[in-house]
Amino acid sequence: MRKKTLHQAAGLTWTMFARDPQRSSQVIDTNEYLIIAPDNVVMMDPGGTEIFPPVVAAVSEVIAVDRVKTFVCSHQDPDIMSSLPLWMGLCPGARVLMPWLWTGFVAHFGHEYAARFVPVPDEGTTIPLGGGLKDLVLVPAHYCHSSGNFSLYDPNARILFTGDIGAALLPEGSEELVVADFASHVKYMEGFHRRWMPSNEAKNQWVARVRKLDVKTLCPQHGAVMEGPDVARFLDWLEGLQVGGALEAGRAAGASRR
Amino acid sequence: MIEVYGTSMGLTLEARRFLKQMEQLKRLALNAEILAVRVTDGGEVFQTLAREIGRMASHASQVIRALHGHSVEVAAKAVRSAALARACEKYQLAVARGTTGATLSLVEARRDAVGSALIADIRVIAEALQKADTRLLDLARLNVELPMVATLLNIEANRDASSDPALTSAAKSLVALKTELATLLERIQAKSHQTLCLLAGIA
Repeated sequence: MRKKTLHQAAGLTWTMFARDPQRSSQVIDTNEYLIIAPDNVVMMDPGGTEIFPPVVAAVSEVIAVDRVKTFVCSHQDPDIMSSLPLWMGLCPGARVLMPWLWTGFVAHFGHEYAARFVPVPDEGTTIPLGGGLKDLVLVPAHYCHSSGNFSLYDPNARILFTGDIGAALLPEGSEELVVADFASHVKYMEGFHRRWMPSNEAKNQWVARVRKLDVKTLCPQHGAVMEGPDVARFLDWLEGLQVGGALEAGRAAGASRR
Repeated sequence: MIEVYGTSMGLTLEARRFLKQMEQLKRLALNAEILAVRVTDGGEVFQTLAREIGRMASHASQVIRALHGHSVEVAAKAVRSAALARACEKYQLAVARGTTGATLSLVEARRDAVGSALIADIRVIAEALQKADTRLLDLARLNVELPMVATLLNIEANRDASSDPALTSAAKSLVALKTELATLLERIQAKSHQTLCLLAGIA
């Protein structure tokens, strides 16, 4: 599995794990992110059961996994967190932050760990890092695409983890971890956003919220990271995109029946 | 393990059906026993046979209840075992994929702990199935004895047909039920054997 350091300064490190070469083609590719700070080690969306072995192996090259204190699940999809019970078995002291909406659902993956779930209210919360660093911020991203969904903003590294927002379904075998050419990258994001994002209003609220943040790097859960000017390009593109594609298909089907 | 779960759940459903039928059999046998009191000639024989059917029905209910209990236990453990086996596999794969440093011993320890729990569960399943196997012998005996007594009862009732039609009707109902019960018992035996064979395959 490939790993890339996205940020390293003042005791804070962001590492990205992606593109397991042995991943089954039946399983969607996902990115995992590890944040190491003086008083906290945070793992964002630890991934699905199927990719647990390579993720553990890759993380072990960076840190002993039982140092992870906080897991964050941006939403409830199995590709981002069905491995949670396996991680819980390795990290007995860790807690799991997730949208309050999903705690009862995620417990179906292993109810014995539910006592360590921390339900995050709709308005979000902060996660302390220690060492004089600013807290991480869970930014509401509800209905983008999940009805209980958060992005995670690090004001220290100016990194925004966006989960499924900004996700791209890259061609099999793609090695690109950082977007090199935004214009040609759009085609990998477009279908995903049109179909998986249900609400234009929710999407635009999120864009407006993110525009107020100082973001240098945008980290999606699928596909490639966007950096520098590509962050603004992405926000502009997303704002102009009509989402909720299945509704259009439904309307078309209704019209053809009349 | 999922197949073990499937056959065990199938067995519990058959057992529930059987228990319902047994309640009906016990009611019919009691009814026949009461009717037999009214018969002057040969009524004691009929009464004894009806009582015997009632006793067998109670015994069969006990056996099936125990079998049901074992099956529920096996089904629950089979589901847990499948999950444990999967977790064990993933931890082992993490080792194979090159987990290193302090994490390696953590993963190995977790794999071994999960593996031990899995072995313990399989042992419990094997024990429950062994107990179920003993119950099956009881069932096989009942499967022979119950129709035999029901047939005798029918013969006895026909002999006294002229004296009490209600008795003949009760005997007929018992005979009709015995065929249904025999089929159910065979299905239960088949499901139990299937579960045993599956576990033998896993072991």
